[in-house]
Amino acid sequence: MPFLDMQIIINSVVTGSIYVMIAVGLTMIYRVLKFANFSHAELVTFGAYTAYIINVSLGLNLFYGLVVAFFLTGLLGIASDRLVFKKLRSKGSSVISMMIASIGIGLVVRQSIQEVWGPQIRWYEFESKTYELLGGSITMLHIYIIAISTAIIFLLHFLFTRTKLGKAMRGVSDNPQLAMASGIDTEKILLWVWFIGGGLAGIGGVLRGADTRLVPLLGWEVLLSAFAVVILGGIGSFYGAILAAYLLGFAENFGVVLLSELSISTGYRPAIAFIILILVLLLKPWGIMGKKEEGS
Amino acid sequence: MILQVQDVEKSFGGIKALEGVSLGVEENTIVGLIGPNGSGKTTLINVISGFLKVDTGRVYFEGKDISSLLPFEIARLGICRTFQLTRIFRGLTVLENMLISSNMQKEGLWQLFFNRKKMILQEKVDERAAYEILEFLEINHLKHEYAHSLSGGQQKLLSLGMALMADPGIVLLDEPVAGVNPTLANKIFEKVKLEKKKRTFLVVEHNIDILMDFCDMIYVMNKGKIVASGKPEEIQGNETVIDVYLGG
Amino acid sequence: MIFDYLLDTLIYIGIYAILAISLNLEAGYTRLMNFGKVAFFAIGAYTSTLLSIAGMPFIVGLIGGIILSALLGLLIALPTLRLRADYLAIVTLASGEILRLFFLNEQWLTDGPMGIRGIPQPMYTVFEDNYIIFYALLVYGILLICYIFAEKLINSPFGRTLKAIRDDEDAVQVFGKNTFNLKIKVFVISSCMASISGTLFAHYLAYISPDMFFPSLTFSVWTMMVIGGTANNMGVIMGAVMIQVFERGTRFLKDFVSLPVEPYNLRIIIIGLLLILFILYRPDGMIKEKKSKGRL
Repeated sequence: MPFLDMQIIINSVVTGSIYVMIAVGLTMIYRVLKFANFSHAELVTFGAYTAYIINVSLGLNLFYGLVVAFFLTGLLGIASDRLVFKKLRSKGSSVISMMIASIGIGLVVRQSIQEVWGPQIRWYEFESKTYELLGGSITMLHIYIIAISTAIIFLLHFLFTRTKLGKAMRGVSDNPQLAMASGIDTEKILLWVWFIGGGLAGIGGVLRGADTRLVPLLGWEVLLSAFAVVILGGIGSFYGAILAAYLLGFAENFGVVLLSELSISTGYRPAIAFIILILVLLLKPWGIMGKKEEGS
Repeated sequence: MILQVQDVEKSFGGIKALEGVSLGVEENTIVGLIGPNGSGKTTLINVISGFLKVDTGRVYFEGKDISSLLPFEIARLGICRTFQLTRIFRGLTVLENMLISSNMQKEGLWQLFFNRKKMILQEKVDERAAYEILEFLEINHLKHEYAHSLSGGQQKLLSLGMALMADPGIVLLDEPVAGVNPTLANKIFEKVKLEKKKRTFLVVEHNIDILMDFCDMIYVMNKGKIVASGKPEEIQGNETVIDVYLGG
Repeated sequence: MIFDYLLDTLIYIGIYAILAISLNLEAGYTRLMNFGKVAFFAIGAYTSTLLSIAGMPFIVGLIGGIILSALLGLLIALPTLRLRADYLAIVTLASGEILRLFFLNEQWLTDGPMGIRGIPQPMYTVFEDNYIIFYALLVYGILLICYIFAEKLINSPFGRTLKAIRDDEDAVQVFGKNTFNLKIKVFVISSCMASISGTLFAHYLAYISPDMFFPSLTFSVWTMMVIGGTANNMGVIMGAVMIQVFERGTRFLKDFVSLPVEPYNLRIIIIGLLLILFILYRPDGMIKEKKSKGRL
């Protein structure tokens, strides 16, 4: 295959690295609270614009922006839970109400961002050299994206396997009832899930914004891919999400080349995630590493 | 034998919930299924009603293999079940709940717009049947109340009523008197006994004493297996059964 | 002038009321989460537009849209309606976006982002002078038919079983109902009704382009349903009136007063807030679901 070259592999790893950051929070919330959080897209966008303030408005290095984006987006995640989802939980509202509310939150956050920064395209300010790598080219930015994402994956692995907090988080997401019965303070753990999941979405937004550009629809554009990753990986599965993120990254980058080889508009790129999503739902609705759910 | 379960096995992630379970239910009898928590009683009901698929083994209803059918297909053959935690349609009235379970009325769209006469006629017939059953269960005065406004005991009665309304050959009752006061529990079983001439009952129950009074035949389950079976008086003195209940 | 403006607003209300009733059938009574309502609206708009431009009469365009919408509805429903309720939300949302990409990219068919102008209006030569009055009557005639149809459908054994599915799908199967089949039926019927609304929209404006079919349209209709009164057809019509008066009012206002914020942004932020507030504090909407006395 002439178009399966080093460049596609590099691009796939970059895309996958970004998707991992976005999908981890989405999959954890999906598993624990059992609803698809559509406002996750706007956490991504919010993170990207937070870093923009630090990087462009204040003229600081984008790394500071990344760190601030993590904290502020994490806090926004907590705020959305405290202000809306927790109240719905305590009223015993259905999963459906939660999804509608998440749409509402998304609309408010996205349009507020558009009100402040306008619909125009913006860019971060940084320099990025290009290097040759085994016949493909890779930029310094790409190296950073891959390195940051990999480092965070290892940190999360450490968190989930070695720390009390991480084990409790996994316990809660594996079996909330059992976790509650065994004395874990579910609500407290949930705060951490929102903080870490939201914060990582913010980081995903910064990486995505650096890799492409900033627009108020930035998060919305990757939401479908993020859901495809979550469902392909199996809802709630951290390792499944990592694998699925790289698989989808590859499918999208390979697919775009395939589209242009077939003289189909590359504007259909988002359809690749959609087709994968439909195939997963048809063939393996519980994902590659998720647990099959059976009646009571 | 109206219902026959043959060597059914079912496991969840390596844990055997049912292990070589076989039983038979004679027509127009009340058969009890007892056993401690987690012994596999509800799993067996789920398997018979099609909510769970067997790993191996077969379930026969009136001689027909139903083990690979979907829940609604099994229901159409004449098997109706209730749930341990009463599942009624909370947003509908008592009467509507009853009408849902009639299997005479079809949801067809054609008749809705082009044969309304037939639909309305059937509706009248169903309503009359529903009132009769509600009367029989002594909850007719609640017919226009929302189901969610009923007390727990009334909900149990309603779900029994819905099962009768479906006019099935066999009713699978999953703990029909759990959480119900003894007087009402006795009343529910009296009603079931009166219905015996029309149909068959398989009853899962925690409360052994009440089953002893009403059942024709009892199966005892423990750890996914049938450990004893027989008439109530045979079960009463059975050492295995006493072991199961006292030994946990 | 003022009269025309009122009629114009009335027509929009009528078109959206049809869309809201169709959403209410599937989402309000049956709890099928269609987050891609805009897809079926767009199918109705584009199909009848293309058929009319090719010289077909209005009624052929209308029916063509209905048939295509039914097919798309089936295509989406078959793989997803067997699965968890929230998968439908994700898949429909994605379908709407993919369809918009299709209209955007297939220029040979749709003129892409330029859109299609000069869409023939039904019976224009007959009512030339009072065309807007005729169109208002047409829209309200069809709205009345849709309303009566929806009421008949809901107050029937079919509708009763839909409401039971909403409460507890598994328990409905106990009574021999093929719930999958019933869900598909109501989803397809709703899709057809949405297509009618889209057709009326296109022929009224006489111009359509892909950027009229953003997901925000779907959520605007959801807001109509949620604030008007989920599972109450009169309620959702009221919701359509309120949201349309609000949307067109803010547009109107823009010409007279200068707001410190962009009216479009403000509108979407308020829609988002309304969704959240109603879900939190008034989940039944303004008009509650009617209690049935069991009479047809």
